[in-house]
Amino acid sequence: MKTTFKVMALAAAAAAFSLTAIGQDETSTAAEAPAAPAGNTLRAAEIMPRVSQGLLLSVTSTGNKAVAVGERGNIIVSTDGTTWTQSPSPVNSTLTAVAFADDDNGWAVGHDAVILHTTDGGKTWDVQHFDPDLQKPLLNLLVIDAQYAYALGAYGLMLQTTDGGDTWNEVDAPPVRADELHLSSMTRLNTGELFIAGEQGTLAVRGLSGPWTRLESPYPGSFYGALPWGEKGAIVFGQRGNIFLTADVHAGSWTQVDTGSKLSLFGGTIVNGSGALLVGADDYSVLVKPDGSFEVVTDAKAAGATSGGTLSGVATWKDGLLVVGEAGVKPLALGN
Amino acid sequence: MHGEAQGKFSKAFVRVTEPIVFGNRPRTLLAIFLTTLFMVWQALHLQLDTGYEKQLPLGHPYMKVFKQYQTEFGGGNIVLFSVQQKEGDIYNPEFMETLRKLTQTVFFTKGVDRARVSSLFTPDVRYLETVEDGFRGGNVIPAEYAPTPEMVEIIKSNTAKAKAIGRYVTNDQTGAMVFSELLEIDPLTGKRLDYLATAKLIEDVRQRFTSQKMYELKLKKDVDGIPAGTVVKTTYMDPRKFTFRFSTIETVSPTDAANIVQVSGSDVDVVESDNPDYNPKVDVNIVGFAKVVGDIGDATFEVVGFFGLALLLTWVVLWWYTGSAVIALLPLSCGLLAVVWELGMLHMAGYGLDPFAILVPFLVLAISVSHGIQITSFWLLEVAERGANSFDASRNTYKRLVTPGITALVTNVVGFGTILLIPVGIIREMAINAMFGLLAVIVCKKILLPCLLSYAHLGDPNKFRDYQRKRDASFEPLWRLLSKITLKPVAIGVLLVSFAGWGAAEIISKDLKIGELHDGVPELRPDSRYNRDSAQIAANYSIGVELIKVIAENKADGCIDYSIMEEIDRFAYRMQNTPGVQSTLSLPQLGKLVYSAFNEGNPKYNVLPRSSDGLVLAGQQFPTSTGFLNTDCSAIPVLIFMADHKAETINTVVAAVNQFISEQGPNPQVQFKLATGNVGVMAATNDVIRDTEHTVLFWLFLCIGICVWLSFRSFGSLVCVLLPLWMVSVITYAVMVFLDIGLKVSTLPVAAFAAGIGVDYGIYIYSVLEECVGKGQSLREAYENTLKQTGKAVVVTALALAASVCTWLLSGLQFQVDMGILLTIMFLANAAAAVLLLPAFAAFLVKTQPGSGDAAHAETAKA
Repeated sequence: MKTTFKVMALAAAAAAFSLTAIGQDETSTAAEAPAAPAGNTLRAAEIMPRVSQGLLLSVTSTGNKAVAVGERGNIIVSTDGTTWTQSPSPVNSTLTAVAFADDDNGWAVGHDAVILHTTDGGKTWDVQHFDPDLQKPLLNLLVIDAQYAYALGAYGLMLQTTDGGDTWNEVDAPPVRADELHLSSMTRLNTGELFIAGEQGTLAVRGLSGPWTRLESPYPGSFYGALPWGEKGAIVFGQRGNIFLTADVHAGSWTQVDTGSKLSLFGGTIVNGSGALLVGADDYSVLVKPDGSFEVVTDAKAAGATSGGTLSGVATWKDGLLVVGEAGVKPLALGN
Repeated sequence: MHGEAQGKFSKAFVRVTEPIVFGNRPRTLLAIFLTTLFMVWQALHLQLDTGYEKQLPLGHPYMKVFKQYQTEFGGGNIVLFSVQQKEGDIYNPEFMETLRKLTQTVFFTKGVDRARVSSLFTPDVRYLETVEDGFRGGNVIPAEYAPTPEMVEIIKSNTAKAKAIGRYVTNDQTGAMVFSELLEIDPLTGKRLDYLATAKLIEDVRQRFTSQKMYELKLKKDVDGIPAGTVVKTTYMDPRKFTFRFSTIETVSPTDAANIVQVSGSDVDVVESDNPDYNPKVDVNIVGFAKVVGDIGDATFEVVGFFGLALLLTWVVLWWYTGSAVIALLPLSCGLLAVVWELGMLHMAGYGLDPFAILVPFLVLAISVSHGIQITSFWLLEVAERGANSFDASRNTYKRLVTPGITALVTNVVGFGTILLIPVGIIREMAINAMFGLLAVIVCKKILLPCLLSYAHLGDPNKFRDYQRKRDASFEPLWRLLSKITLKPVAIGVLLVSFAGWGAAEIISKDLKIGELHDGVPELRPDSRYNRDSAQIAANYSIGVELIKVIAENKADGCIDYSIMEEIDRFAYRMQNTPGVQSTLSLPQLGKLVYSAFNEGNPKYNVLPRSSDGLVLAGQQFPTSTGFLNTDCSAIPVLIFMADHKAETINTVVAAVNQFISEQGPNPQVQFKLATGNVGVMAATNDVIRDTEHTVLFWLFLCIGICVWLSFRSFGSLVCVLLPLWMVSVITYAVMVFLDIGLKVSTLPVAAFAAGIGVDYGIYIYSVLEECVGKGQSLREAYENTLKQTGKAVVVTALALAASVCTWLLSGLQFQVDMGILLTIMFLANAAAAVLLLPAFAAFLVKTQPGSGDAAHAETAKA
């Protein structure tokens, strides 16, 4: 007789989920910049047992260890890719990206414009930047070395350090920042040039020195990531499964890799010799091979299996890969 | 030997009542007959009655929260229908047609809130995809739906986009769900939902797709302006049972929709035909409170059959015992009469018969028979052995047994009364019901039975005596052997063994779990259709069935205050990290998903926006009707889905909640209040059981002790009667540990019932033993004589009691099975303990008269 509540909850849940997916047939725009700030003091992340199964947004490998970050300031470290230890984190703001310069030195960035820094391989972290009143999340970062790093985020937010994070300064890059578009990803091409991908098809490159240049975009939607492709090229990916690649970013000719999937791609990594592995919504992952062909690695929908949720990040790990997303971190093997 | 009733009061009682009862037997019988007629009439009006509230421990603080938010977050009386394709996935035209028709059928089912019916085929299930310039969305099933392979492909793609998998569609896409909600109050008539009738309608929905046949009820003649030949009802379950002629069918007049016409089953023809909606490739799983009620109701009717079986078994035991099938009918029919009276009184007091309390008639029968055996046995002894005529034998029986009998019954009443201490409506109702039953037993057994026996006639007393003696002779070696227990060395041995057993049982019973130990709806058997359906749905969809809801109370409009929403989200996150919790669901969590959806579905935006604008945006998707917030957003429930409802799991989660609350410090802006949800109710119930268990046992034994003291006025009697009882109840706990039965609402009263009834053995044995010792016999002689007089009665009583409750093992209701096992064990164990342990204690505690010995023995043996 106690079922009343079970079943009620079921339907409520169902109703709610159908609502999360509702919307009008007409279009509406993405969330606007909000107004009033609210309670915003630093609060440490809680050490919890199921962090590795919670929302994780980014993973990286230093070679000897893997580090992943996600909701509520969570940072987890593993030396074997299967057992994870949560590191104390001074913030409980959701962390969106993590990257290391070497085995010891790394940064993590996230909401409330937070930047965390470690010098001991992710065991302990210091706050280098925290500005919730700014109301702009940091979405990604690029670490050049233990001194140089960039952090970028929503509404054209872009910060840089040249002193290991002692100071973080706004980057002067009007071509990229003036439109206040979300900047999703920065990568370093094999030429050594820096490359940015972001909202509304934003693509920009900066030579080894000199100003940033906006590139003409093959796609008006959002890009969520960019990776170096060949000697001078790049591969960019984003909304609704769009993937474009070019052998030379300055040449202006992009080739679309049409996988047929409309699932947005949120993260990717270069797999040496195999190409670029991209991951996205509904547990979808696809490998783009050096010759421009592709191979779907996981597709929950096609397999008729339960979706493990949206994937957000991926990193090479030993002989395989680690992917992170809504269902936490899990290993991924590439066929042959 | 007789006539030495204990105490002045007893003598006075017998002196006053005896002439009333026996002075004018026809008058007595007429009075009882008339009362019985009245009671039958009352009992016939008794309705099967179940209610959710009766099972709630309403005094518990959780239940205040439960009641407070019941209308806002707890009104959801949901029924889920899951169609499961047996082979392959759901993406074929036949399945889609079945799903469409199922949705329609549910929609048109009486009692269903049409606004809340939801499936892939209802317009509230939409998909949304982010496109370059914003969103694109639409219905999962397009308006131009037709059961074609092309359309099925579109549906397949939309289903994935709608994130319906796991909710509207099974995880492996081999089944689909229709959600529905029942209206507790019919908005047109204002009448409360009839759960049993609704359960039948719901089952009919299943049969529409799984039954090969359909049955149309066609009018034979014009009724109330409806012409003959009109189909008044279509059903998919064969209605042609033998009671069908007498049933009434409600139908809406074809000319006037507001006119509901009652048609008698005898006025219609049942036309059987092939069911066009039958789909052999699917099965339908149904869960929901109404379905549970229906299934429990069905199983309850079964119990009526068990009652018949119990009667039969008891009759066989009595027959063997009395050696006469006819005389065996007397105590049996008196027992039956007591049950009728009990049911009559129940209805007079304004109660219905709850499936939970349906065991009470069995107990009343058992108790009644147990006393009947004592009375009949004594009467037979008088008639057969002493040559008394029926009337004198009855009078003597009355004089001799009315006082110990009433003592025993009063002890029973008091024992059952202690159950009233458990503040759960249904248990209290059970206790009241049982007390009515005992009142009935006192009248039927103590007055009616001796009266009836005075008219009974033993055909050939000599033949009967021979039968008795022959049978008794076979027991004598056993009695002689048992009487050795009164020898101190043997007594020491018996006591040592029993104390060792007691000690072991105490240790084992420490592991006794409180609450439900098994999956599924605890009232029904784990392998019942309902529990299999429920397990299927839980396994195939990403929706939990074990739910505890914590209400986050905060200020008005709390859902646009970041710090409040963040606190609730942090709480939910903490719960998610608690062992035993599968997932959590709450407004802030959903808000994060929406915020992420507004940001192109990017998981990096799966956060609560700090601004109230952002929170408004994220929260406006959830109207109050979703049950995720109240009207002014000052109360937000956090749904905690648990892996199971075992007591340890519940305790862990409750402890985690309390830990969080204690960390919040004084006057927090968000107050988390435990608890509603099915597991929330269990948590409260477990608390109540944990708190009251010891109190109930304490009062139970105290009351029984006082009754025993009043009867026998000796310390020895207390030990001799109470200790064996206590040991048996401890051993029963140990047995519960072995059998994986938890201490719960249904098993808690068992200890009280069993001890309350089990005390009879001790009282009867001790009273005879005391009497024999009083006559100067040695303890061993006294006990041997006691056994000769009451031993077989005790054995037969134990068998009769066990016979009446062991039939429950066949029940479709799990709580009845559990109770049946425990009561059977306890009835037998109490008898064994009384026979074996009472003399062992007596060896040390009962003082024999000086000079008792062989001479006295010889004398008694002659008598």
